[in-house]
Amino acid sequence: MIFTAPLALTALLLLPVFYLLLRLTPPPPKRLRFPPLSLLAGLDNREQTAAKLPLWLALLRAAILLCLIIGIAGPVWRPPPALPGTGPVLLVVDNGWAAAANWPQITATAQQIIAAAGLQNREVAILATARGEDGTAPRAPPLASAAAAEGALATLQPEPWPTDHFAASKTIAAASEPTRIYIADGITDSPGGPGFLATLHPNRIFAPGTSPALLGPVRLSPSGSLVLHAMSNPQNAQWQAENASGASLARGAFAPNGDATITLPPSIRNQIAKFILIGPPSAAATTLLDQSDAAHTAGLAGGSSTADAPFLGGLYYLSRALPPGTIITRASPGTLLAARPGIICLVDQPLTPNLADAARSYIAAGGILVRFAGPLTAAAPDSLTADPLLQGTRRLGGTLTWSKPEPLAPIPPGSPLAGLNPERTLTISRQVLADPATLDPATIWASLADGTPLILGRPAGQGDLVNILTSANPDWSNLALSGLYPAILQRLVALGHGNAASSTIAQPLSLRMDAFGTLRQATGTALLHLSELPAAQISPARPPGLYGTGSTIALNLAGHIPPFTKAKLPGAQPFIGTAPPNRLGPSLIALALVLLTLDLALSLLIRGKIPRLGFSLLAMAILPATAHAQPAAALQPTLGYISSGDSGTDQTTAYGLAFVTANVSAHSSVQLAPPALLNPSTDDLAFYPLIYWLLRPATPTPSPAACEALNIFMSHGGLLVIDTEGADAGSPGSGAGFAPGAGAALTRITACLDLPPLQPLTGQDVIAHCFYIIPGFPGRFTGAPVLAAIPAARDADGVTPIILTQNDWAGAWARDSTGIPEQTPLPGGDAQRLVADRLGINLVIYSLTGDYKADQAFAPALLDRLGQ
Amino acid sequence: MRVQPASPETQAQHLAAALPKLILAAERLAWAVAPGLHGRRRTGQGDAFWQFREAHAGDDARRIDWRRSAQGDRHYIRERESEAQASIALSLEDTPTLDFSSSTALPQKRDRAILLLLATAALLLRAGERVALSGITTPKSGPRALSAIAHALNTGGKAAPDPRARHIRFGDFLTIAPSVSGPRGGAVVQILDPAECDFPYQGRYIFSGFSGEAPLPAARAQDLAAAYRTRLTAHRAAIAHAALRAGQTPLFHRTDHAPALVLTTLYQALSPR
Repeated sequence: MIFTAPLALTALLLLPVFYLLLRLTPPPPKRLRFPPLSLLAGLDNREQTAAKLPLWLALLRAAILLCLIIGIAGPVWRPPPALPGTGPVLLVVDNGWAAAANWPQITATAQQIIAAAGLQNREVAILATARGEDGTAPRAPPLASAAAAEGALATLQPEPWPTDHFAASKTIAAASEPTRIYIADGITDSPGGPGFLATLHPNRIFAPGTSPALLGPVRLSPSGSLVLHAMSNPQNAQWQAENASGASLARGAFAPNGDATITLPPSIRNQIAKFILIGPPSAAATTLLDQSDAAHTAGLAGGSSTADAPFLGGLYYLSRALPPGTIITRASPGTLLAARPGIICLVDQPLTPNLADAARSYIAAGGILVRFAGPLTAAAPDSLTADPLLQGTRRLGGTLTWSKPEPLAPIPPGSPLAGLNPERTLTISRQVLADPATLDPATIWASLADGTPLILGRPAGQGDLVNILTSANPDWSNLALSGLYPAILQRLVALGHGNAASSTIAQPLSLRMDAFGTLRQATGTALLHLSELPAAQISPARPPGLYGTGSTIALNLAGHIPPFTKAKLPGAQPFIGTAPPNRLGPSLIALALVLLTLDLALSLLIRGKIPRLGFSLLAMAILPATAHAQPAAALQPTLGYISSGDSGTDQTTAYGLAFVTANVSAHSSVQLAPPALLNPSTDDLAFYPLIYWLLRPATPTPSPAACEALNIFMSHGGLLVIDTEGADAGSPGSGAGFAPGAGAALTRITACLDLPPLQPLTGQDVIAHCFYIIPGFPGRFTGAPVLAAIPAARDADGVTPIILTQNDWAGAWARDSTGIPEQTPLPGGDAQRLVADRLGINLVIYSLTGDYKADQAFAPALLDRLGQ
Repeated sequence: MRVQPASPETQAQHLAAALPKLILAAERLAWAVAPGLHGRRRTGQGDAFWQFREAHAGDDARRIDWRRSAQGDRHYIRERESEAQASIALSLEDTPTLDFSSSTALPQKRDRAILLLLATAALLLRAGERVALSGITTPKSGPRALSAIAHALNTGGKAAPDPRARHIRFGDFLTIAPSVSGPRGGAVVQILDPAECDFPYQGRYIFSGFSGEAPLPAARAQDLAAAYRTRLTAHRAAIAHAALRAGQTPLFHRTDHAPALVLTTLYQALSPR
């Protein structure tokens, strides 16, 4: 039993005080008006001392408080592990790489077991199955008291290499402890596994339910993106790219096949130091990147005009042979030297002295300059060469020579290209020759079978100058067609990062990765040669991490640990920490609430208020029944209209709105109820999204109550449409002269309304395109300005609270009971009516959705910008 | 849960609103009581023929019915049915304590008293008696008198009391003793709530009165019950004794009992034996 908030338990100290207070505070007396009071007067009424709270009620309330305090303290009940057997306990803990992800649970489980052993005064020995950092095999542990074992457990750490169950078996075979408990990492990766279990014969096994996550290596896709592979549990897993200081650069999910293709700008990509799987930190969920994974930049320039020609030019072959993901720039040599990419390949490119000087400084600063020979440079070699070159070329094979095209000799071991195997079919038929008189043998990186140097390289400053004495295209050799060509270029590109020596000597471990994936300064003397990398196995002697001073080689777990499967552990239990603990807090608080309700009921009973309570409960039960007495408009959107004072006009308005209602219901998902005639001074307008009011010169001025209701309606999101049956003579629009006095009526009737500043509606307004795109706002008449609130005066949804028109919209909408239009729109006839009908739908949609469709005005521009 | 006593105006309005229903209830109650009981079948001063009897010595010769006597050789006197000139006065001894009911399921004492009063009036009117509201209305008879009485109960009024009228008084008589004046043959109907009779209260109470008496706290109300019941019994006995001595019939009614019961008893008490 533990408490998640033990401080709350201090409130228990208040409990006795609370109890005393409760006992001292009697329940209030009931008050009663009693008619025969005079009969009671003077009766023997001895017991006048204040009654104490009944003991049971005080106890009940104290119990409520107790439940609350303990509940808030958050008790969690974890049954302690029952320790099987008797005598000393051997606790075998897998602490290989697979244990790191579950390490907190493993230590928690071990602590519980040690604590249980301590309770029974049993000695404990802890055996960790992974080899130590110094490579020592799991040793026979000394038996110790539980307290000492606890200390030993605290120093126990997972190791980033696999467990050595074989060595552990030997230790266990010699151990004499009768009770054996095994905390497994859940995988089988060594042949000693089953034998180990047989040797151990554990009384109890704790194991995780899942296999550990393992993040695979990073490779380059043909398009140059990084491809990260999760070797287990790719579902739901997320990767995160981090830089050397641990800051997150990017994160994402894996495709179902476990791959994640990561396309990032080169500047970001080159900062990535490692990928991790989001989750518990472990070395297995970490993939370190070395320099070979960084994006390379290459500059290409060719001297001849055909250097870029497909199948002919050297740049054509070169750009395809460069490693995938290399960012290639083609420009003039001057531009390239100024841009300073990692490597510059000059194909048959003569250099002016100025450019040669620039190239020297580029090399000195760490650049790799690769010069391919060719007809232009062969005629007049310049001074920027690894070794002085002879003028002209040597031809091998062909009609005028005896010799045959020469293959390459094996690459000398000291060369940066060492380890590459030239194919036998690779032959050189023409090349430039180095001056043998001044040839420095150390600069020969590759030569022909007859010893003629083919590739010369000379470090200068931090960079290298490399001369490839044959052409970059297949004219002089089939080097450009061989598999060696991209391999050479990969090596050369890698040189651009200053790891020139990587291939030649074994690299010392510079940063060691611990089991949790954290990089630490290495103390050991582990060495790794690049050629050993593919077959390297993680072990104490070769821990994972970064080898070489410049993060030259990354040794990750994936691919360097034995293949593993989920272990078969009969009767394995989940880790003790992972079994869901019994949280007692919520139950206790719920119990307190139940008791509180009971207390409330009892209090009411004591005070005699139960009948009234029952009455109010009854009232609450009746209330829902009365709640149905709402207007139908509350249940279904309904258009409303206000009487114009003339029954014929009102009939027209009713017909018009009925048509709009039917039209909207037929053409949109809005289902409107039949329109309702409203009296604003008595009806609740809150249920109506749109109220239409046709004014006539004789329409009575609304009462103050009606005005106030309409103002509230407008200020709370309603849309009030005020229309007339035409306009005064001389007004704009085709309705001029049809309704003399309409303007005066409009002024008179709207005088008491809080009208915002108005402006004419335009085709840009949402009303003109929120459902149909309509060219204007005609009704029975057209041309009169339709006024709406200026945008600043509209509500949060951009809906104008009022629309004023004199186009007699309802007149155009109105169809009589047989469906025949009542009136003829002027001057446009049925075409104008069509627009008016669409306007009716737009009005309803606008009143219901506000400016939802406003962005439709920008949809073409947005689509255009998106390039769709 | 203190209930503010309603103002007389409000009470009157409530009563007026309930009048038709109340009259109906009273009549229904009267009908339930009436069967089997018939009114004043005895000789008296009335207009209706009742019986012929032989003339005795001392009878006024003017009372001899000569037409009947001519059929034989005896003299007959034509007697008319008795018509009680003296009316019956009903009164509601109104006190604030009538505004009490111990449970929402029970009517207030005032409601029950009015119901009983009107039902009695209905019975008496149907029997041909002249019924007055004591001090409020003059004696009335006939079918419309009931509603007149009911309205007068509501609106009040002033009329000279008939000194010969027998009185039927309704009330709880807790704070005031019933007046037992008037001719013999009346009745005093005491109406009490069952809680007032049984005193079922337990626990801590503060009892307060209806007319500004000092509240009376009781730590354990149940301790008062026995003494209270004794006192109430004595109180009732005193009222009954006073009534009997004045020739009035003491009657008692609890609001949880059926009103027809006390009405029947009351009616029988009024009927001459």
